[in-house]
Amino acid sequence: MERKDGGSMKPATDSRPRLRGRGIRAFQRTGVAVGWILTSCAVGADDTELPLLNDDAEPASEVPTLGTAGARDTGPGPNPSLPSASCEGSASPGESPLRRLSRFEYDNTVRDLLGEGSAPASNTLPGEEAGNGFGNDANVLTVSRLLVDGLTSIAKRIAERATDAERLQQTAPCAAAGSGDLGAESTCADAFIYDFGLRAFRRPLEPREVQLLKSTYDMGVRVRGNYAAGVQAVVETILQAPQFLYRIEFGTPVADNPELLRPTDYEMATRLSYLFWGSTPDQSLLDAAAAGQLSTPEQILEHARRLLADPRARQMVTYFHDKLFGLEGLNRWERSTELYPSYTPAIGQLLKQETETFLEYVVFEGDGLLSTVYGSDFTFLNQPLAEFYGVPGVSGEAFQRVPLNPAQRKGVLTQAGIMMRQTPGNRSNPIVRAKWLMTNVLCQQIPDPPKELMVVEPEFVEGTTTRQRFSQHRQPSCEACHVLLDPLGLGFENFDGVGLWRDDEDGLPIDASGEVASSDIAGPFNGPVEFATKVAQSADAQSCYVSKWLTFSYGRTEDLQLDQCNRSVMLQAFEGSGGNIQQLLLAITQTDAFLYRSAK
Amino acid sequence: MENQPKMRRALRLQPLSRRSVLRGALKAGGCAVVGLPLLEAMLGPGISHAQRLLAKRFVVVYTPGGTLLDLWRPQGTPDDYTFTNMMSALTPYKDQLTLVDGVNLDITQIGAGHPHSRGMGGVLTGRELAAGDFNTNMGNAGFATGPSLDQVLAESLSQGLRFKSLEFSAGWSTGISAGGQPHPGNIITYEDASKPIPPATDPVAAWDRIFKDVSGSNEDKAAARQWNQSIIDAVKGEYELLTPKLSAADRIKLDEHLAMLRQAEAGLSAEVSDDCQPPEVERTPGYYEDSGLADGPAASRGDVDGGAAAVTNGSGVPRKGETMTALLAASLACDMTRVATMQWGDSEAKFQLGFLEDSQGNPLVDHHHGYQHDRGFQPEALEVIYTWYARNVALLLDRLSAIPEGDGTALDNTLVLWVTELQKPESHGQDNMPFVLAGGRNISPTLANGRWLKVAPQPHNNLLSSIQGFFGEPEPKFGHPEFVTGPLAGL
Repeated sequence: MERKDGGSMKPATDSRPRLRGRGIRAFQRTGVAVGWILTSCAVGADDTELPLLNDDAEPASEVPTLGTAGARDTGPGPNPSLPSASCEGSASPGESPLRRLSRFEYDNTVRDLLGEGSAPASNTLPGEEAGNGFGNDANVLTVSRLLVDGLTSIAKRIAERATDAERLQQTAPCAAAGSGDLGAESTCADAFIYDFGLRAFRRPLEPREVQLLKSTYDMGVRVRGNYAAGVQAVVETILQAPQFLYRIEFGTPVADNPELLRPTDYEMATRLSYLFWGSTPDQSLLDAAAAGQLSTPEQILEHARRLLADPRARQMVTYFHDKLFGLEGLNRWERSTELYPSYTPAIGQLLKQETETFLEYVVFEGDGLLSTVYGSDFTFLNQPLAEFYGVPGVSGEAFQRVPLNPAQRKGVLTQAGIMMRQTPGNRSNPIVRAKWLMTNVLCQQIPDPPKELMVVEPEFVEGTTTRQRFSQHRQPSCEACHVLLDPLGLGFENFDGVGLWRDDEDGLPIDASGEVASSDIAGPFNGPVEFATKVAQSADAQSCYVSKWLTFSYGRTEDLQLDQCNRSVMLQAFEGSGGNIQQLLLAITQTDAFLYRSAK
Repeated sequence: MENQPKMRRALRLQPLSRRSVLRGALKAGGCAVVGLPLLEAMLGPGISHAQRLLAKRFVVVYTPGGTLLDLWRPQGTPDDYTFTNMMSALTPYKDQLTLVDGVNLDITQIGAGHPHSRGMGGVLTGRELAAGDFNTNMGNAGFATGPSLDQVLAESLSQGLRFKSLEFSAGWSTGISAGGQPHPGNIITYEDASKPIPPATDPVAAWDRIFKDVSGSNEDKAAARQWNQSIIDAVKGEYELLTPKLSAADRIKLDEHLAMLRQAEAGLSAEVSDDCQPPEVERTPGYYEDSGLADGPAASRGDVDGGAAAVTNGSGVPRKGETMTALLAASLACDMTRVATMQWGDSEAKFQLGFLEDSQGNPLVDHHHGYQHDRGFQPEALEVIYTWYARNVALLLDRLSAIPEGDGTALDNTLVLWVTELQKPESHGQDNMPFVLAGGRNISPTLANGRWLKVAPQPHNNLLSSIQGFFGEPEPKFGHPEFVTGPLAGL
């Protein structure tokens, strides 16, 4: 309960924060930009300090502020003989919650299993915004009626399409299909259930599972009279089975340590393929699992290298970066055509492609370094996008490497799409930009405004700069939070609402001096290029990036205590390689959380 | 747009003239609504006459952005009044309404987010919005922290029916809530805390979901039923093979999934009368974007209150809304469900209103939010908009009262609640909300008496509690316990 009076409810209306309406009306009447209008700042200040760490209000999704990774105390219990560079003693995997396929993973999986390319889950299932921000937080995502209805209907559609005349032989090959030889068709069905069942459940089927699916096949044939219908029924069932939708793990015991389990080799094949591809294991992984060759860290690392070299790893890294840098939805982003005549949603799409192309290049073709992500002197543009930026000499639809103007841009954070995405309205918003940079790039925790606070963005007034409008809002009780944000965001004022460079705003020169309130780059800076230079060298930015991968790859939220050792393995490998992202990804497979699971 | 090679299917539903339906002139072809000729048919095997007469239903209709309270209030006294021009579309139903004048949306005093979003989340749940990551224009917010009244009532009202509830919309997911996904600013119905139920946005998809398996020959329907039941049995079989082996924590998750599956199963195995006639549809190309609102490009306007993140051309909204309203009524007529929601937009209300005209006969150029406060408070245009909203509500009442049931119509067995997320369009004020109840004569003798009920200021959770009481809850107290005292005195 957030009510400050703490007492029982008062039905009368006098508890309503009246100032809210009055403030807005006064604001409109006078036309004076008083900035963030505060209903109950004073109330909040009376009995609570505006919290820097807002204990009771933080959603589970907030990634905690960084802790230093260090060696933990060596706990009791035998060492399962797994070397982890900085963590001696018993392995500490942390929590291993049951993971459901995310929409991204479901879509990749049905593509790889059945050639279904329509991304049905992303297009129809309910969103996964809750939790860690990557759509895969196993502790937070719940099952709704809507989800179950959606899974049923896409299973039906996928099964229909996979068994139509065109694709039946690809899905469930059978020379006898349609011949009228029911026995031969039934033999084909047995082979299909064995083979498809293994790939869909990511392990060999148990006899009772085979029986169940065979009787489902028989039902399909009976009801609709042919082989295709039987196969369709099997596919429709499998796509709704928990063995398919969830990544079930039982594990195998670890000698002398009842607290720990090791994933079985099939379970490890699944961990590897979903980590690197966001999809189901390929034949090579399944073969390795069948041969018992996914048990040691070395065997696992060897497959990890192979998977990372496959093009499918690129889509996974792109998905991660789309979430981390907020690129989703840029292709639908709209802007006032009066203020930004050169911008259309088609440009938004190209801006998304620019950032994706750039990141994919750095990770997979360039030097692979995070410092390049944040500090590069180049980007990738095609002709329409170069024209939007006003960069001459780029022709054709293909994206090509283009040097940046070193006075204006440096690294991913100064790309127009990222700046535009953190600008909710048509005019730059330093607070939104700063909060995003602090939480997503530097992992500094910023509290939400107190709930009782009603805030409105300062209205645009001709002949003023954003800095002037936003700097007028400082009521003393709000200052405590806004000093964390506003000075940072105002350092990006050279980027307008679509991320284009400007030297002045409404005829007034831009003052791009800024200041970072906390982290190892705390202190003043002047303009976005100087900020990017600092971020590219920041240990906190590097550590933050590690935290984001940890969160994403484990499908939960980082636990500052239990994940210390996991994080330290990743951080050491990352730092040891000079910040190489591929090395970081490979190191994930060598952490306790990946190699083990808790027996609890 | 019309020339795009991609075929778009669409329903075409003939406009309903209430009089023609009541005359029984409606033939099976061309209309969504089951008229008089189907009275006998509706009483076929599967649903007994008595069951249908006992049917109690709850329907919510949402329109965005409050009202003009002075014009919402009738002229005259509570004993003798007439509607203003703005509300005149409801005049034919005057005796079947209750205007609830005086309750406050007090729940919006707490929780996260902008008042628009707080109002959306709270209006049917009686609960606040959680903290979260959605930008609501005024701080981030998550979803509401409890189930909505319609979903709570549906547990019992829709038991054994094909759908627990059905949600429809036109002009949904605009502005900051654009993208076709749930957002605190566009959701009013919740299965439970943080489990938003987005409405259907595509009439063709909605028809497929509701009516596909019960159309066609009796053999087709029987085969579809057998197929669906067999698949769900097999999926349940997979659960049974797996769950005994799981750890307690893992089993909790799969049990939750299985419970939802069982709900879906209950719906699949529900008897729908073989004589239920799905609305006739004509699937023509064009007409609907996938989830959008209209043909033609979106336009960008405006500068504040979220900017012009997504302002949408709204020319298709009226037709889509009429179609969705017809589907809603047809779903009730076939007893597919007894709980439904119709959303004429969301709290952003950022589709353009060029299909409406001002008093000079000029088309409105802006969206509702623009007239509300984005570009200053413009009451003349708002009156036009709220007049249209009242007509949309009347449209639903037309549809329901065209379905004969017993000695009366489906409206007598349906309590319709008209809601919005705030009262004052100019300032987000959420006192003295303009709630309207319609129909429900057979649900409670205190309903449908043509009352303009002035009540002392009190939290709107009391109104939600009253409704819960109408449907049989002995001691109703709905929503956040600190924002409810009990049923509304006098209702």
